[in-house]
Amino acid sequence: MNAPRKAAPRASTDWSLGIRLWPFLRPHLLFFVLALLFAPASAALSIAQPYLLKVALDDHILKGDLAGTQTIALWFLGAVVLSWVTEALYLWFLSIGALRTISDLRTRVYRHTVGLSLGFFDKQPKGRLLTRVTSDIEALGETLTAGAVTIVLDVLSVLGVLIAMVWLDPWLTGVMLLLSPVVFLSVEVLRRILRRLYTEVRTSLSELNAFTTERINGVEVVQLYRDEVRSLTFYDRRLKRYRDATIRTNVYDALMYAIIDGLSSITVALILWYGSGGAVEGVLTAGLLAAFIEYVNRLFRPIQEFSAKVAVLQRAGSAMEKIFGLLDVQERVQSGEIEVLAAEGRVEIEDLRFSYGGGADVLRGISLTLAPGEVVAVVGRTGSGKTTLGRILTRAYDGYRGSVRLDGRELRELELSSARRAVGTVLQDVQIFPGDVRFNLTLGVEVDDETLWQAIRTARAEGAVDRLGGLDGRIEHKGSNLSVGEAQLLSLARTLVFDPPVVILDEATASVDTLTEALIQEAMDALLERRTVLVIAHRLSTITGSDRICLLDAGEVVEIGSHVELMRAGGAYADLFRQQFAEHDAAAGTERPSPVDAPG
Amino acid sequence: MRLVLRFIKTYLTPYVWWFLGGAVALVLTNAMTVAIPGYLGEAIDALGQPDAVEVVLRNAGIIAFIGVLIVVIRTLSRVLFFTPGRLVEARVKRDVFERILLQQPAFLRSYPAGDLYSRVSNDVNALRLLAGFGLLSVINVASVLGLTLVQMLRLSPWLTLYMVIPLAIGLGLTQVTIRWLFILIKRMNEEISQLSDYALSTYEGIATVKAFAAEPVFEERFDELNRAYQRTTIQRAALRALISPILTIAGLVNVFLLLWIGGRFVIEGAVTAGDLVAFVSLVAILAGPLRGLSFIIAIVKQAQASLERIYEITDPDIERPDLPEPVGVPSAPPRIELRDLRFTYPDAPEPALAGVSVDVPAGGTLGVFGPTGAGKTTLLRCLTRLYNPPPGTVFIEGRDVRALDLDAWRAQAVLVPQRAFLFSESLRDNILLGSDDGEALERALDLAALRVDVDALPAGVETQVGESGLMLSGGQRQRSALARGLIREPTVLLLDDVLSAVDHGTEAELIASMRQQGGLSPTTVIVANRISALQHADVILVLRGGVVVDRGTHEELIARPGLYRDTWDKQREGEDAA
Repeated sequence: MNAPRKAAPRASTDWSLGIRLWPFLRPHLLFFVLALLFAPASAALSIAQPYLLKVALDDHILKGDLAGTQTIALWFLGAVVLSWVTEALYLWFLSIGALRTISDLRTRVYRHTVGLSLGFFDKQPKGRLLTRVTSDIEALGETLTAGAVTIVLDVLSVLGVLIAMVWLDPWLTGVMLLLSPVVFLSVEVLRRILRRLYTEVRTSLSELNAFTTERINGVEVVQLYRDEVRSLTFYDRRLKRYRDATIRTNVYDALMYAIIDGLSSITVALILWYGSGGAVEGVLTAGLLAAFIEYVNRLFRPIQEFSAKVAVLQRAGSAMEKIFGLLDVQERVQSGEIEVLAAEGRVEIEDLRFSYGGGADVLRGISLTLAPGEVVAVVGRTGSGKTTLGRILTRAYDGYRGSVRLDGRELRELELSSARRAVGTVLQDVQIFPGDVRFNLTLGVEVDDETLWQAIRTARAEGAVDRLGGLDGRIEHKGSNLSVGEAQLLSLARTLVFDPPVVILDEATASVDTLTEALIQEAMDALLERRTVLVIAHRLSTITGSDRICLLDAGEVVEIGSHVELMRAGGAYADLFRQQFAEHDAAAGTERPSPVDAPG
Repeated sequence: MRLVLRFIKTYLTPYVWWFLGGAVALVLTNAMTVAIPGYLGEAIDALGQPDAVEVVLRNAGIIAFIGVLIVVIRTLSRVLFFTPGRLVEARVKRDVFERILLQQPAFLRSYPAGDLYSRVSNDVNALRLLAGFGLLSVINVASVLGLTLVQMLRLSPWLTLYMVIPLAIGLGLTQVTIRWLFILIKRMNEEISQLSDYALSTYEGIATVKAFAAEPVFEERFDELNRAYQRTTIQRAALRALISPILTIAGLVNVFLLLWIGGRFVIEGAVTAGDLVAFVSLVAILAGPLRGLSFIIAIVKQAQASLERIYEITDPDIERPDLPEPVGVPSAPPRIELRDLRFTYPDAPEPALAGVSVDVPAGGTLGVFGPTGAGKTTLLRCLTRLYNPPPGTVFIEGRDVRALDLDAWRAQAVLVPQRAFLFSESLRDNILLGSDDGEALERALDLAALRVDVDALPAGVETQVGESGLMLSGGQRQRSALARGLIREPTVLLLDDVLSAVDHGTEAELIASMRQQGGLSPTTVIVANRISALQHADVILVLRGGVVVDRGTHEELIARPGLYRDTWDKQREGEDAA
């Protein structure tokens, strides 16, 4: 791991990251201000307590003044109760401010992510994106509520205690401060060691957890291939790294804790030693001693908790880096102005060129016109650009050159949502959301039940919907209570609900049984009626119904025409077809081949 | 409590010396800490006396010495308690993980993967807390409480009595409110897991969300979940702000009592001023351990629940159904015979296989065809004994498969599952799984038609794949899994619809090469939805609802009406049209 190297230039980044948090803090400033108002009050009330103790002892108790003692005692009680209340209010306001900030940030991260283009999602493991809206935000929240910001009160307390001590006896305070270099030095040294160790604990734990999850998910493979021993060896190695890191961390943690503990005793000794000079003359009084000891306790407690807070702070730093890193990503598709109200479905593509992220052109001047209601199949090998073509039309990717017009209007000038709804997609891998059937069909758009049932019937999804318990039937995460076929039928019904004039059909290849396949084929046929359709063909079975076939190679249209025309012309398509037919014949005998590649 | 005692007996006894040492160190530290106020009080009472300097200096020396000792001994006590806590954590983790790897699917099927994972992580953490912090707190509280009380009673029994009251009230209040706190924390956990499920489902379905321009709806739903979660977190923060200082406050109330009542005692001469200051210090010492006490009950409770979940996994015997004297496995491709094989999954109402009989000659190929849920995969699972078939139903070269040595059998009979699972390792390690046979790897790459794909990968076979590595396509994953199976040179090859994501040409190529692999071809069972993958089988079973509805060669089956011929016509039509 290169963690130590990465940690080096952090001090300045932490600062600039803090500034970036400001816009999220600002709306909740009131709570932070309120919190900060209570902080000095709480600190002052807390600091007053040892002083009252001193006054009670020296001025009243030791002078035999019972009434005075009890008055001071009541004052003391008042200070205790008020400091409790003010501290609770301080913490409460701080928490509200921080938690609201965090909540806003979470919403922002989610919205930002959802707004990014599909190109971005293609590159990102979904689990990592999830971490941004969950654990990273949580880590930051922990800092804002429990860690960093409570340091304000800590600092105020430490300062207040020092002032009170100087006021009571500057010399005694001076003697005590002799110890402070020892305190700071040991805390600082340990803090540095611990900071490194915490990083090690965190990385080793996340490695161990990732490994555990993966082996549990793949336990069948482990058993079938008798990989148990090797898996356990790997596990042991990771477990040992984590275990050793935690044990080492414990040692330094314990030392840190103990040093502070011991030092507070040594401070008491130091006070006594200083006082011994004036012991007989009465410079050192019982009250002074008691007050100083109380102050020393209040001085050391924040320092003792400091290491835990540093760990939290450190986690928040790296979390913020990741969160703002994600917020910096600006891969989105620009929306145009023109709203698409009703479309006839004419698609004109002219000299279309496109490259991913400034690389070589994947589409190199494609021209193709689809008349309303026409079905055109695009075939070609992997890398020919057929998938990319579909993605340009559905506005999944921005930045095409040349021209794509829907009913005579340039695609990039159309308002994004309406353009996407006008050009529907049927995707290769079906996407189902947790929620009820209705939500999965409408995705939140207001649609009456009649229309929904109409779409369900057309998509042959009645059986599935009935089984789930009608429109309000529950669908689990990832559609786990649906069969693959049922999920496909539902997704077809969804497209029918939206009734787009143009459909991009990324042909499904999932393995389903014949009965379901027949249903899907029927539904598909119903969907294709009266629509302009571009089929991204992975198998030839769907090409049967298409009016024209467009062969792509290396981002260019090589041939275009009906199957019969192309075969008759005897060009590249026919060559490819015959060539694969022969190959396949030699290998397998009777069956006809497919001139296109399977996905994958 | 029985479970906790059992845990202590099995896991903690090996570390008994650590804990004993830790306890001694802890009691010693506490004894010293508690002694300090006594020396302090003595010094205070000496103030103004003629021998003041001598007494004060002596006591200052003693206190400083104690301070140094405390650094050493307190460190020791924490290390001695927390280290075995970590060691126990690692041991339990390993035991649970090992058990999960070794338990057979019949057992594991009742637990979702996420649940198993949380047993290895969260539940084990609860035990670490019990073994380290929990034990330390118990001894800490007991010794501090005992020692402080003795010290206080020695100074003034009456004052001690008064001191107990606020502390008892504080402890009671904390107990009550801590229960609320745990309820809120539980609710928070539920809400955050709902929130993450929702976010994950959006990200996984993002193409659809965008295609239907449904972003605003999803954002709104997310906001709702987020707001609900935010409300709960604020409630918890309020509760925490109010209750976490309660015991500290109780300690301070005691200081008030010391002034109010103790002040009178001093004035009346019943106690000295030094005693009073000593009391103030002692009261402060008590607050910390008492706060720990309020967590002990929660820790033990949590540990009990976690122990239940852990023993649920580790207690049942590993269902490795070897007979007492397992029979060796034939080294040549064997004849496979199924005799009226019936199989019902545990807890399933219907049998998955309801009487399947077939005879596959040595080196022959059996094709299995049928709709989803027909029992095709179950058949393969029974053959590899992922699930044990009933006795007397599956015979390998005339021997009951259950009598075979399981390890040896799985080395010979390789199942390539439908779902190609790759680990986050290099492609090479994924295929070799620990062996180091470079030549075999090259051969397997060719056999599985993976060569071209591997050459296109950034680091060839060394490319990291799996969740944390490069995402391979579905077809590449399938062929990698196939290579993993073929490299073992099995005598029995079981393919569960593994060619669904390759095109027909590659499929034919793969089938041909598998059959010619290394001279003698393995006895093969191919499960497929695509008939082109089955047509060369010696015999094909058509399964439906666990029953063989038809059987024969490809030619025989397409000669008569039925599911097989219908599918064949349909699949051919698709190709012919093109």
